Formats: sequence, C-alpha cells, structure tokens
Amino acid sequence: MTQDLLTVVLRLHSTAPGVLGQFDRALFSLAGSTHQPLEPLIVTQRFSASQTREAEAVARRFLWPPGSTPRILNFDHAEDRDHRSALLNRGMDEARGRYLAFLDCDDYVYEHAYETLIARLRESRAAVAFGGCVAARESVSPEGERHVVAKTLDWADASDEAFLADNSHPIHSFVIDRERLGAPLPRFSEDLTRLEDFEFLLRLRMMTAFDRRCLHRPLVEYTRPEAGTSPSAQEAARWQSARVRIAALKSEVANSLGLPEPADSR
Amino acid sequence: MPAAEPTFPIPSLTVLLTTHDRPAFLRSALRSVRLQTARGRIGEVLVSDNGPLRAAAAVVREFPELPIRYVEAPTDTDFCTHVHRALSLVSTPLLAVLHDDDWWHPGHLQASLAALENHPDASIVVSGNLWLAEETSTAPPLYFNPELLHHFAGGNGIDPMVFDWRQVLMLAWILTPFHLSTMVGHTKAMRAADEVWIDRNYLVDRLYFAALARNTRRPIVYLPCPSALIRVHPSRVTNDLAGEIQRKGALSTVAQLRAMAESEQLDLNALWREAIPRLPSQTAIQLATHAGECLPPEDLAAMGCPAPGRDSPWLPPATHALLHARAAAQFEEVRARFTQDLARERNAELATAAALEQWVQRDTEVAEVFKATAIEASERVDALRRSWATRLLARKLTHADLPRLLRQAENELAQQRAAEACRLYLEATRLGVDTLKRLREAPLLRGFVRGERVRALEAALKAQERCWKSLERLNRKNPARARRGAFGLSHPHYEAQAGRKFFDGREAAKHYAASGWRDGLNPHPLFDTRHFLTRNPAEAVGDQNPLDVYRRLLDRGLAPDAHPRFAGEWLRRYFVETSGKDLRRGETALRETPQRCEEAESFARRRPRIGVGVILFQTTDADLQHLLRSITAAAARAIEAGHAAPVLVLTDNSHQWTAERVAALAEGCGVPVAFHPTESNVGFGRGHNHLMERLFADAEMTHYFCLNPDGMLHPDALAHLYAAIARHGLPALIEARQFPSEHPKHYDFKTHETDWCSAGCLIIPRFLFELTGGFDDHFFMYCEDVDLSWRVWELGYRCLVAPSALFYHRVAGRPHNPRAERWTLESGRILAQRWQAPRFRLECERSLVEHRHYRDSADLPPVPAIPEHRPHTRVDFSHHFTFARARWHLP
Repeated sequence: MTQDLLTVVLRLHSTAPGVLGQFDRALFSLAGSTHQPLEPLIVTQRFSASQTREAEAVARRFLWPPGSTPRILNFDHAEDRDHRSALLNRGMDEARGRYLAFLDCDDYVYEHAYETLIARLRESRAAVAFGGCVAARESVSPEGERHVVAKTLDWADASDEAFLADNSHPIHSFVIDRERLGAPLPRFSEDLTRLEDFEFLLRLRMMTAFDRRCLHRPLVEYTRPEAGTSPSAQEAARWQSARVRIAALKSEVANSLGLPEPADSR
Repeated sequence: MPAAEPTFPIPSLTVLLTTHDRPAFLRSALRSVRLQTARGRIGEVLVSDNGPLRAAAAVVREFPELPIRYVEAPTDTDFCTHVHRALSLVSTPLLAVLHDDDWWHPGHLQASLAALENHPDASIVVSGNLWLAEETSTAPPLYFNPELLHHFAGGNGIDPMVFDWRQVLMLAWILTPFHLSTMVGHTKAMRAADEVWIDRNYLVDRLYFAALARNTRRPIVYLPCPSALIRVHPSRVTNDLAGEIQRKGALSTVAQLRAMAESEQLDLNALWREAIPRLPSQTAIQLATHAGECLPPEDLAAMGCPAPGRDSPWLPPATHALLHARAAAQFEEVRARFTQDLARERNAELATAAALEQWVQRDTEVAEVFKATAIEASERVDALRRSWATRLLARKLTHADLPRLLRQAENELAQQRAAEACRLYLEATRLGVDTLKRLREAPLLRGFVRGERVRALEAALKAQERCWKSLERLNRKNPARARRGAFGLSHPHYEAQAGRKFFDGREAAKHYAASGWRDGLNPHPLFDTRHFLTRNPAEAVGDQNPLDVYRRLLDRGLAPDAHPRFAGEWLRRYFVETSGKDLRRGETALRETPQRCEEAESFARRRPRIGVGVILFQTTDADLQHLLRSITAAAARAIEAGHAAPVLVLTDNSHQWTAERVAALAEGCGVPVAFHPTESNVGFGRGHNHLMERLFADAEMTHYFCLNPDGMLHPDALAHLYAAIARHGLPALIEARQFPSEHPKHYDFKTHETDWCSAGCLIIPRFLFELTGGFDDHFFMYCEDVDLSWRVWELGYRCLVAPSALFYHRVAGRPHNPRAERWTLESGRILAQRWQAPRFRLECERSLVEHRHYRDSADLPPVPAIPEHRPHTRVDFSHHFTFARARWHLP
C-alpha cells in the first residue's frame, strides 16, 4: 500500500460515442485533480482488443503527471451479463494506494475534491470521508451537445438514520482510508446489479465511523438526463430484489449502531 | 405604523419558506408574502419542500407573480436539517424566514427592513407576534411580547429595542426570546450559527438566537409592534409541552447554553442575580416562572429568583394591559389602512401587470418572426435553386441568368419579412404605450421595483414612442417638406426639443449650429447629437456642427453611427437613398438584429487563425507548464482537423517572469510563443488589449483567444472553437465552457446566444476588437467582459457559448478573497455608471463600505468619467453579479 497514493477505480462499460464522451469528461476531471499522487484504474467489462484500444486512446490524450498514467483492466468473464460489482472488486484487488475512491464514467469530480476529503480523513478518526454531490440535469441536443439545465446540491442529512433510510451517498462521493480501516475491505456483492454501492457502504458502516463534515460542500457531480425513462418490468424486478436484500442488512446495521430500525426493514 | 420606506437599492432579499406537505398553510403564507408592501425588495422566494407528497409544487404555481424558486429537498429529513440545507441555497445578502404555517402582516418586511437600515450594526431584526389558531379566528390572539424583554432593555413597548449579544444569551437562558418567523436580516449573519442546525436540538430556536448573537457579536433589534402571525397547533401544545421529549430537550438546551456561556467566561446566573433586583416584582415573578420550566433548582437559587407565579408566564400581567392595548390598537389601525389601500390598488395592479406581460410577449413574437421567416426564406431559396437546376438541365436557363434570379428572389422574401416584422413591432409599440399609461395611473404599482430590465424597456419604448409620434406628425403636416427636411433639420421636432418657436427651419438650423448641439438638442428624430459625438469622436472634433460633420461623412459613402436605436447603414439608406420614405421598412433598422455590413461579411469569409493570449499573475512554473502543455495538445488536435496553427502571446502583470524564463519553459511545446512585458500591473482588460494590439499587428491573425492561466484546455477545445467560428459566420464573441464548475448564467441551447461572455476563455474576433477598442481600460479587474459583451450586443453582433469546447478552470475550491471582492464591487460601480443603473451602483457602494473596504461613502474613489450607454435588452442588473438569468444557485 503506497502512502498518500489515491487509487480511483473508474468503471467503463461501453465504447458507444455518447459513453466515450462522458468517459473523456470524467478523465479530464481526474487530470485536473489537485491531489497527487493519483492512480486512475479503468476497469472494463468484456472489452474486445479494439475497444480497449479506443479507451486507451482517450486516456492517453490528457496530461498525466509521471506515474499517474491510467491503467486499463479488462474483466473477461465467460458469462455475458452485468458484472458491475465484479468490476469494482477487480479494481480494489489491483489498487495500490492507501486511499481508494470510485468513479463512474458519467460522473466527475471537482479539482479539490480528493484533496479536501483526504484532509478530512487525516483530521478525523474516520476511515471514510464523504463530500457533497451536485446533481446536474442535462439535455442532449440532436447533434450530441450536452447542456446543463439545472444543478442542485443533493445535500443529505448527515446522520446515520438518514443514511439507513435511503442511499444518500453516491459511489463517487467518498474516499476510503484503507490503512485506517485496519481490516480487509468488504467486497461488493457480485450477484447484485442494483444498489451494490449502498450494500457495500452498509457493511462498511459496521466496520468504521463515517465522516460527513463536507456533505454541504459541492465536491463531485453526477449527471442525469432531463427526461427520465420509466423502467421496464425486468428492471423494476431487479430493483425490488435489491431492496429486499438491503432491507435485511439495514436492520442488522441499525441494531449494531443502536438505532431504531428504518421503516422499510420492519 | 411601519417606518419610512427603506432604500435597499435592488431586490436583494430572499424569503425562505420551508414546508412539509401542508398546502393550505403554505397558501396562506405565500398570500401574505404577495401582499407585502415591500414586495419589490424580494429577489427570490425560496420554497424548500421535504414532504413526500410534494404538495407544495402545485401551490407555488398559484403564485406566478412571485419570484418563487421551488426546491425539492430530500424527503424525511428532519426540520433542522431541512432548514440548514435551505439556508445554504440562499444567494442574496438579505434573508427573511417564514415557516409554512405562519403568515405575515403586509407591512412586516417594510418595517423590518427599515429597522435594519436604521441599525446598520444589527445582525437581524425580529418582531413581536400574535399567536392565532387560524387565519379567520375571532378569538383574542395571544400576544407574544414578554414584559421581561421591555424591562430588561428599558423599552417603552412601542419603539425598537436593541439587545447586545450578552443580553440575548441571558434571555435565552430563561426562555426562547424571539420567533424564527419574524426574523429578517443579513444572510451571512444568519449562517453564523450553522452548528445549531447540525446538532438538531429540540429547542433549536432558543439555541439559534443565542448562538447567532454570540458568534456574530452583533446586536439584535426587536420591534414590539406585532407583524407576524403564528399558528398555534393546540394538540401539539398540550401534548408536547407536558411530554418527556420536551423535558429532555430542555435539559439538553440548558446544557448547551451553559457550555456556550462558559466558553465566553460568562456566569449567566451571576448576571441575572445582578439584574433581577432591578426588575419590577411582577416581571421578576414572571421570569421565575419561565426559568422554572427548564432550569434546575440550584440554578434558580444561584440566580436569586423569587418564587414562581401560579399563572402561565405567557399571559400578560394586568399591570401592563395598557401597553398591550396600545400595541393592539396600533396593529388594528395599520391593518385597516393597508386592507383598504390594497383592495383599491389591486385591480389596477393586476390589469397593468397582465398588459406588461403581453407587451413583452409581443416583443418576443417579433423576434420569432425574424427567425421563422429567415428559415422560411432559406428553404424557399433552396427550392428555387433546385428548380433552376432542373431548368438548366433542360436548357431553359443559362448560368448567366442565375445571379439575377437569386437577387430577385431574396429581395422579394426580404420585403415580405420586413413588412410582417414591422407590423408586429408597431402593434407591440402601441401595446407598450398603453401599458405605460396604465403604469403612470397606478400609484402603488409605480413604487414597485421591477428590475433594471423593465426599466430599460420602458426607457426604450418611450424613446421609440417619441420618435414615431414626431415623424408621423411631420409627415402628416407636410409630406413634401418632411422629405426635404428628412436630411437635416426637422423644424417641428427641433421646436419641441428646444421648447420654443422658430420663424422657419433656417432659423432653427442657425440656433442648432450656434448653441443647440452643445446643449444636446437633437435636430431630427433620427439624429441623436450626444450619441453621434460619443460614437464618432475622431470626426466630430473641434467646434463643428455635428449635423454638418454627419452630412460630410455620408457624402464620403460612410455610414456613421448616429442613433442608439438604428443601425448606421440603415440610417444612411434612409437619409440618402430613400429620403425618408421607407422609415418603416427593413429589419436592419433595429439595433437588436445583426448589422450585416460588408466588412463583417468579408471578415467572416477569411480563414480563421487563432492566437492565444495569457496574462500571468503570480503564476507558478508548474501551472504555466501545465497550461502550455494543454495548449500544445489542443493545437495539435486543431491542426489535425485542418485548422491553422495557433500562436501564443504572453505578458506578466506580477513581473516575476522574463522573456528568457518563458522561452526556456516553452521550449519544445511546439507553439510559437512571444512575451510582451508591461511596465506595471496594468490590470486585466488593459493587459489583454496590450496583447491583442501585438497579436493583430500580424495581419494573418483573425481571432484572439483570451485565456486565464489558472486552468488548462481540453485537447479538443481549440478544434471546437474553430468549428464554432465557422458555424456562426458573422463575427461574435465566443466563450468556451468552463469545467467542472460551469458558470450558471443562462444561454440558449439552440442558438448558443448568451447575454454576456466570460473572459476566462473567450474568443474575440479582430473585427470586433477594431470596432469596440477591446476591453475598457477603466475596469482594473472583473466586469470588463460584461461591459464588452453588452457593447458588442449594442452594435448588433452576438455573444455565444461553445458548449463542447471545455476549459478546466480551477475556481471551485478557492477561499474567499477580500481583494477580489473589492475589485468586483469597484468594477460593478463603473459598469452601473456606464449602463445607467444607479441603484446597482448604490448597492456596490454600500457593500464596499459594509465589507469594510472603505471607511464610509465619502472615502470611495470617484467613478471615472466614462461615456454612458443606453441600456438595451441584454443589459441585466436584476440578477446581481450574475448579470443574467441563472440556471442554478449553489452554495
């Protein structure tokens, strides 16, 4: 584990033009990060050689400090299904840094995000520090131009009760200090394809305290389309199954923290 | 009676309403906001809704006349978290809080703002309040105005009372001294007690006032006259007051207050022991009753409290019934007067507001017709071209016929378009004139502040009205004479200007030449003397009659700028070619449309070549190297895409860099770099003008890319900017998009037009630099880009955003910089002076003094004597330093 090194695990699942455009933006935000040293680790799912070359070409375009050039890890599994959780585990296995963060290809971080959160970790006793997440509503023109319609700071209640009630911390809004944790990190449940990050955080909460002092400061952004689509029946079933799994875990976490059980776990 | 109307210059107050699925209550609260006599001061009504049903969404739509921002807060957050979150969204300097179940008297804001103005040291103003079960309740209200406050501060029950921070802490030790729904004050001060919301105590309001006073060290002003109405929820009062939660909460509150006092080395019990003997015995008993509700016996003994009374402490003692009766009578009198006034004026207000909106709507329709007919025209010409191609193939046409046919078709379409636009414009003008009349007739409405934009529209409309009327009169009287006089002096118009009669046109012309032009009189509705002298300083030198100068310039085939509303080219056609017959013809008459002069079109046909200009200021080696490498990467990508190679020009305002150091760092970056030092720190605008002059000395360079050193370019940024230049044709200011913290100002997603462009990453075409002279040197730093953009719009050219061109600008994590704040406010003054926004200027000056950059207003430096410009539709001071509608507000 290298001291001060921050590993950012960046998930990329496709090389469609729209996705590559967002991936480019996410990398641009990492290239401007004021925290150094930084190790971007791009994990891809069942990419062909040409797809990997495309992703590499995008990553090479930015100016990376020496030693920070992104690495690409391809998760080549025989089964063709959604391996989003397995990708994160693969990234964690390969991470060399003491600090660990995650980023999805459609999100991005502000330049001082990691510097601020790591400073919080150094000041506090917690092993995980959270920052404020700005939700940007985007409209995409027929020419593929992205325009931000509105931004809001989805500032969650900084309490464990609120955390248990809802998944209020997006996956890219926190940094983990692996050394402070003092134990192996929990794994993402590979059979979960929805709420896998919430499930991970719930188990992490049983191991360590969370620092939420920076929740009111905008540090990261996630984008969502202006007009959402209604989920298919299959998609709704996935969400429901994930919620059932989470409800049981929530109850366990609430008991361990001495909190009242959240409404949906009763 | 509310005090005299305060003079906060622009709507600078947010009304903060947190709500939780109580639509009926919220409706009452918003009605009371709508009825405020100081409604014009409200810049925003922020309704934050944490109810799972989102019931407030429908209610806020019932109040289109209020500037409501509706925010969906996460559901199931508790009250404290909700308020804390909502507070962070407020962006105005002043703030008033209102709970969704309470409501205000119409004079509440006016009285509170006046008190705030009269007590500049105060952090907030709070007021007495009446507790009622419902709006229509006829039962006598409970008047929350404890005697303790009066005797403690030595007040008479009518005049404002001032509590210093120690007194507030003492009061909070005994009771909750004020109500949150009565609070009006400085946003910064109200955020000073944020920790209270985070800790989420049961008696949060009590702790909040104590923490606010302690943290700000500023006094709190209390207005005894009741101006807020607090809804009592009977079931909660009876259950909760006696409940376990209340007792636990009180104990925790006392513990926190004790800690707060100890940290300040204050012994509250000892302070009360000294104060209690000075209180009347009834009040002391009342105090003891209050204190007994929450303090343990040892504290009561330490304070030297008398035995508590048997009655509830909230009922006013009989000895002070007279005081209460006076306040209640005063309240009734004020309420009756405002009810009468509002009923009378309300109809006029609604009708006028509707007409004004209709007029603005018609103005928008005119613009739409321009756009729609332009599209239609291009489609029709395309269709004609296709038919000509067929006829060419059939040998029914020759190639020589084509230019003539094309010209003919285009002229025909242009005339149709012009006629339609003109009809709509005149209709809109008439509507506007009617609206103005109604505005004048509605005295209450006249007092409302409607923002600089409406004021600018009104001024423009008045000018337009005068112009049309004068010309119509002229033509009606003597058409032949009108034509003769159209080029030169108009006798009746000049008589109206001078306010006297002249024997004939010749005598009027003599008067104008002798003294009239020096007094700023206009000889003709379409010739604005002051404007002409301002815009043509080189030609109009010495003691020459401006009209003669204008005539000579026209004779030389030029089209000088002679009127703020009409393009020079169009005026030349009017005066010289058509002798005034076609005044109402031609879309190019209006300044808002692009002035398609030949030079602009010929400039647009040139192959663009960009030069990047950077002003260094205390820039480190690492930052500069990073920037240079990003420019190199972006240049390589642009060259790959077939564009010309850029060059880089640099200067350093901090004088840390030399040409040699820059050259050593830039070696191998692949872009030619030139360093042009300045003699001193000349400021931002002047520095870039200096670089533009050097860059444009090379005739090949067509565009200057004004770039900040604190960031880096995306590899595709230059290619996207070249594409934007090609796409938009005519010269325009084009701004790259800042990333990851994008500027919130609005731009049109289809046309990419924006009210102004930020100079952090801005393309300035040579054509516009030559036309405008670049940035105005009077601005040392900040707002120079807004000024340049508005001047560009004024000349009929556009300001655009290139959304795909990204510039990584490191601004998100910057700490507060007092020097930057001072420069911003000073530049804001100059901008307000130029664009005739006296209220905004006053606001900047007030902030300069309030933030202690200057001792007082007499200490402020004089505003430079710069030529004033008439505000046009893009000039917007109503959104403070955003200078445009914002797409979002983040803390």
